[in-house]
Amino acid sequence: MSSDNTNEIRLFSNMQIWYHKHIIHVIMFLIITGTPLVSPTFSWLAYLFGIPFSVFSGISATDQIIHTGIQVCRIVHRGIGVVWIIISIPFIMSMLPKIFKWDATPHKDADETWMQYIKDGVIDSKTVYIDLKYPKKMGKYNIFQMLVVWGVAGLCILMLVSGVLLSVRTSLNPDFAAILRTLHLAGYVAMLIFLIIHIYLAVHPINSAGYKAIFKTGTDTIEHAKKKHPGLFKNKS
Amino acid sequence: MQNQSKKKMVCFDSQACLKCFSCAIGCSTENRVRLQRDKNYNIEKSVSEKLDYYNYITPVYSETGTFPNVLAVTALKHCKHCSIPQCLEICPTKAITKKDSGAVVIDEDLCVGCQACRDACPYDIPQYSPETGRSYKCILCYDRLDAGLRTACDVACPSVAIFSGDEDYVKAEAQKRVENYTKIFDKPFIAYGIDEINSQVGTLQYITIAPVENQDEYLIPKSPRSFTATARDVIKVGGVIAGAATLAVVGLHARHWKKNRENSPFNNKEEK
Ligand code: SF4
Ligand code: SF4
Ligand code: SF4
Repeated sequence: MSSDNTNEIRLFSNMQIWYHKHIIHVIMFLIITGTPLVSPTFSWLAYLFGIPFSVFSGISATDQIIHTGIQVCRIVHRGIGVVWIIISIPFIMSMLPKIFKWDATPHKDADETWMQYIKDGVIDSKTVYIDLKYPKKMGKYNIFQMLVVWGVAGLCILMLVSGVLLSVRTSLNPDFAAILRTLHLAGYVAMLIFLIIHIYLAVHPINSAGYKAIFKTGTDTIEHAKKKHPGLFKNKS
Repeated sequence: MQNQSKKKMVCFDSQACLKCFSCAIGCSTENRVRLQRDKNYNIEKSVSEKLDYYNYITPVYSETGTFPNVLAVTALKHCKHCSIPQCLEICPTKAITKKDSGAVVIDEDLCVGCQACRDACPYDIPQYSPETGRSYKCILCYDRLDAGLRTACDVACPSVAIFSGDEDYVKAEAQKRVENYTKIFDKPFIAYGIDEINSQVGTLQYITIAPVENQDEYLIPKSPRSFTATARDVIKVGGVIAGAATLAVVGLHARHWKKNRENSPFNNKEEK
């Protein structure tokens, strides 16, 4: 939580910034290559993937181009999945040792009940997003962000595990593979909904300092952070 | 027997079946001939290769009841050619099409072997071949039926337990047999697939005559449902509603921000 510059506070480590940048590319590619595999409704996307290959292979019929596009999507989707696993290893290794101290892990005061902690968290979130004012207690994340962070972490694990298993589905029980496919699909829809909210709030002026921190500096000014994230300074003054 | 109606149908009459399984041999043989016609196989190659994935009709044996009242049943497992084919609706490559005759056909050249069709089929029909990386299932001998011929399983059957042709003819014959069996055995029989089965399957082009009390043993359950197809529908509807609700909330919040941002500290330069 420190920074080289005494006027600044570090919100994100270099590893978090690096991982966040890469995961944007990974998720983007997984979505555009995964969507055509969901339903023939998106075969136009497969068609777009198939066109460059049709130039070299000489195929011209629409159904063959779609077929080629789907094969391209399947290969790229799996390849990107492997890239995701590889880039997640150093990230997880760097996060694990401090997981219980992490700002996305709820920390309540010793004399505070969980009920009070949750109530204050909800009030703080309302203050920021509905009243559009600075919160009273909020740390780096509000209570809903904490829920979403852990929810999305679980979702990513679900997508990775189900995806890896589906890539070897011929060795699995077919009924189990069918359940995995359904979970992968449900996870995909949940991920899309999460992204709508995440992107909206990320680019919203309310979070502009956080946007700058995650994409550029990793830091925020102490002056601003004290107003927007007073909880961060609770034990520091 | 044949008229000009486009819709074709096949019927398996479980009561007339001798369990000789000539149908399975006939199907496999016909598919080997198709390889000669379509894939440049010579006769030797087409008969010497194992090609087990070209057997589109499989006997499935089961026993029901308790000794001494045990009933041995042999069902025939094959594609039923649903009027609402879940396999077709999920296939990402559009490799599955429905012909005018009602036949639901996988174009193996377009199949990528993702096995989504198998997951979505309420009857667990399409079979994946690790050898070719593709999925296979009965094609209702659509080429033969369109040419005014009977299906290969029908031709191979020595007891007319399988009969095929125009839909009107097959339906009428099946209904006649159901009436007879119901009278003779004094218990209800069904021509499974003539009437709508449920909203996920619709009606069938490959129907089955069997006693109502043994529908499950004959692999023709009263209301078959695929977990994948059902869950997919729920996710589709739920996803659209949740997506629309999310966009609405985001839109409302953006409006709220626009109206009230003047007094918000988040709207000043320092915040940025
Ligand atoms: S029985 Fe299965 S494979 Fe055949 S048409 Fe119906 S859904 Fe498709
Ligand atoms: S296995 Fe083949 S036919 Fe079945 S859904 Fe996948 S691409 Fe379509
Ligand atoms: S209709 Fe044709 S493809 Fe289908 S089981 Fe009979 S012989 Fe095989």
